[in-house]
Amino acid sequence: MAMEVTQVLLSAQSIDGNVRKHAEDSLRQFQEQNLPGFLVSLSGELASEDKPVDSRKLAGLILKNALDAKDENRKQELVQRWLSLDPVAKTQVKSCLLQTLSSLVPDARSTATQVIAKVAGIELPQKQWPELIGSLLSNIHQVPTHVKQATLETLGYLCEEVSPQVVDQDQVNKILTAVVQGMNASEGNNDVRLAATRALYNALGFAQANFSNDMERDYIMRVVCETTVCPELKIRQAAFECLVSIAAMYYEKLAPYIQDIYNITAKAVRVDEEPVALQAIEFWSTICDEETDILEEYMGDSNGDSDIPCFYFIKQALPALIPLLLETLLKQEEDQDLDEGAWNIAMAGGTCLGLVARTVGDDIVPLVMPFIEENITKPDWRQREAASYAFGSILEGPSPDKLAPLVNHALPFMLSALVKDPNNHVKDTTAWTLGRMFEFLHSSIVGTPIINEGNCQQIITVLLQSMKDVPNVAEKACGALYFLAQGYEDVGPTSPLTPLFQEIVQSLLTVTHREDATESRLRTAAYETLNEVVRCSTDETATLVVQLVSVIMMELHKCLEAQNLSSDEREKRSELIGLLCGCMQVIIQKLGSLDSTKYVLVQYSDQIMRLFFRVFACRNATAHEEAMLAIGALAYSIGQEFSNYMPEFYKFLEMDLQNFEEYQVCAVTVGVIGDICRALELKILPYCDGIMTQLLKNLSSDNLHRSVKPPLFSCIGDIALAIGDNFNKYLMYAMNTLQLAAEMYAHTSGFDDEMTGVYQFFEKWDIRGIFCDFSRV
Amino acid sequence: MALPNQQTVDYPSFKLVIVGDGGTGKTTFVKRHLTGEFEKKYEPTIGVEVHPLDFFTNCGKIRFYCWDTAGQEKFGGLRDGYYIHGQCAIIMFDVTARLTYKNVPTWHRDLCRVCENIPIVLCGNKVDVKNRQVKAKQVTFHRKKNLQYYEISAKSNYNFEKPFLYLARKLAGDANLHFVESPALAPPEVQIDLAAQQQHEAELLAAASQPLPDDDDDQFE
Repeated sequence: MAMEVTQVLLSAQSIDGNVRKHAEDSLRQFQEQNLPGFLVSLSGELASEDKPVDSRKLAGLILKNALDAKDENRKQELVQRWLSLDPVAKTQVKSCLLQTLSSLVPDARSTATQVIAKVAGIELPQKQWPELIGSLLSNIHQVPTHVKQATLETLGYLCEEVSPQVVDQDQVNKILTAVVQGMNASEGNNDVRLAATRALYNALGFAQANFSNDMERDYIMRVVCETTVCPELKIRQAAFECLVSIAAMYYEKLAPYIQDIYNITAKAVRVDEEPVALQAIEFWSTICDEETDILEEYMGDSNGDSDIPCFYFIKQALPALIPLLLETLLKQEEDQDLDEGAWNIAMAGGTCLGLVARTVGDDIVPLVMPFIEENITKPDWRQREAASYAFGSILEGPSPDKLAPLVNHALPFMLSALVKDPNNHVKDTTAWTLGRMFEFLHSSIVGTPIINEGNCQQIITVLLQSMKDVPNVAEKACGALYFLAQGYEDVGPTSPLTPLFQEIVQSLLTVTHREDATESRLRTAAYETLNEVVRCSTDETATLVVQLVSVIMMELHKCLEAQNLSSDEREKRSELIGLLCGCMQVIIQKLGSLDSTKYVLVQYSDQIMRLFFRVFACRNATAHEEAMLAIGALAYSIGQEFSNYMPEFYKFLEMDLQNFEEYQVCAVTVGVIGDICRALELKILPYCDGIMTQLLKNLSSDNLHRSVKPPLFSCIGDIALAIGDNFNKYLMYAMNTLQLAAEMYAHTSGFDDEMTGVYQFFEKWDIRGIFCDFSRV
Repeated sequence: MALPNQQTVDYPSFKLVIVGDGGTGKTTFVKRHLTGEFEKKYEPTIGVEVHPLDFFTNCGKIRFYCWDTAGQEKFGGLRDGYYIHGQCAIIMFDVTARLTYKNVPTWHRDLCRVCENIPIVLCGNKVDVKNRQVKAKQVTFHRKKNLQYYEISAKSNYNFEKPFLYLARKLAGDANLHFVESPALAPPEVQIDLAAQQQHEAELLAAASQPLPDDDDDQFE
């Protein structure tokens, strides 16, 4: 029955697409025409010691994929095919798989382990293959270590595929005993120990009963902790990964072991290699995540009760844990400031420090401040940067009352360092820390303001100067200014930023024109900060915002006029157009919210709309979205006046509603139609036939991304509100669609997001009493 | 990775596997590097598409053979069969689609079981979209697996070379390796000995695994 498949399997791995496709077609044909023969051939290939490793490995993977799928329906289909397969073929496949565990070729063994686990996942719940586990366990005592290694790997995968209820608890115990013994230092072979440690990682979910038994748990934990000091790096890392997983899965069982775990994690962080140290830090980050979740659940629950008690491990460990984490901050990489995604021991330590602050709050502050005070002025840049990073990391969690005096004291020094420190890395982190100070501590609700009449001017001056620094530092300075402006959002009629508004805006515009503004996302940061400054500004600066309209329109005009652009330049232009349209949206919203400046929008609206129509012609999705949002803001602001633009704008609305490929543009357009309905009210009526037709088509379309469906319902509600009785014309169609959606909900309760729109629709109907009209139809 | 009868180049080359849910931007990301064009229309990748991607570094030229795999299972072809001999990988998710991030652990697991101990970058794509559903703070999977994480955008070029630079440094064993604009006229400053060694070993292993050719041309009787 077996067929020769070696060459086709090798061809399937060719870089040449034609060779590869031909081979894949052959394999698919074979599978469709003769499934038993296909599977037997693949298992034979995998088991054959004289075949090349690449064809063996691929044979095993294809075999595995014939039994398993991510899609649940597809998976069940494959499971049924396997279960209904000729028993002789199944026996032959399984025999080959077990035989391959003895192969001398590591890749063949490791592939077989995966396939065996998949077969077990199918058969064991059906009470088939009853001898498998016993057979694997007996392998453990065989002499060849490579078989032992492969068997342990198989057991780990099997525990992942099979739920413990399917297996006798006696066998569960034996599996775990074999796995844990394989981890033991008395096992001399490192490959076996590594396989066992990884097997335990996969088996942790399987070991619920064992983790509930004190003696068994003690034994497992002791071996895991001992394995963390194994001489082999990979084994130590795998052991720590087990500890991290245990922290997440069995938090409530950890109390007896937490001291020992602290000792081994501290040693690993201080002296071990980075992959191990990272996982040792991750243990404590995971504990923070668990405790934060428990405490939030506790405070959120009206009963004041949580399913799992909080053991306050972090609070207990604090005096020893904090010095450990602070030490890690001094192990920066040389060019880390240019790599904002860097993940290394210093970043892991800082992340954990931040999580600790969120978990324990005020208690962290007296333990960290001495480190900051000691290091902030040291000659070594690493110490200064670490001090600044530590400060920034503890600003979320402790109370403003606790932090504000410290920030007030540190602020002058930080501002000086931001522009005078000789090291870019230090300046980068200092700017980031300032941003965090303003993000968490600067708002009208904070009792002791960290920014006051005395220092506001100085802070602004320093930030504006810092925005002339290298891009990564300037970008952080923009971020700090962003949060500073945001903190004045609710300040009332007068803002300390008012006298500085013009200077701030001018500086930000200058940043956007820098030659290197596209580096470190600086230009984006500058425009986002400008938007926030405008959004949070008070009426006092309204006349300056009016002036800004013409500045931004001029920028947009110049952008649209640019010619002979390379592909890269075209992309950059489109990005800039999107940013400028976003800026226009914010300005329009600001001016539209004031009676004293609303007239300005009416004056400028012809020019504004002309520019936006030209943006649409650029055919860039992001810019298109931004322009559409800005138009929604304009319509909302000028109200009925917007009807002047509807004849031309309607064409774009119609086109966008049909744009399923760029569904995000479609979704934004649906939202904008809602804005326009609120603006025009009855004046939207001439366009309703076209709009409603398209909305209903969209609702019933399978090609449109489902995330767009809820806004469609909401939009129909807005139309109904705008045109009142005139909606009767569409009522029957809308109700029919709603009924279909409600039926869908009954069958697939998972689509909660989809029903939000339906609820919103009915809410709006209730408000208008349209049901009365409905009863007359 | 070089197998006999496959096209090879005379500078270091690596098989880079790109995985992640459908629609996360894997193909756009690769083509962005190839042609500079941003493709808006979403066409699902069928099976795998292999694109050679060359970079110039201060240590000379290197090539990534980018195996851009299907994210949708129904178009998956050989699925993880394409990972064999992968020397580095990118796992991509879409920050505007929470489900694609939830599936990252599964992609990572499948990848690691075929390619043990290779450098992997996690990429959160589409970060310039406003309604991102996976906030930067919520991305923690890289912490669990010691992965590098980059937020990128194929649309705006944000961070789009960073994943390749990280992988190149890891494969070369040189933390100071950096990309240069064009081929240097002068000889490269440093040779990538480790990469060449890996290449050589891979070739030897592949050659040693080849069966002797036989006379039977028919694959299926």
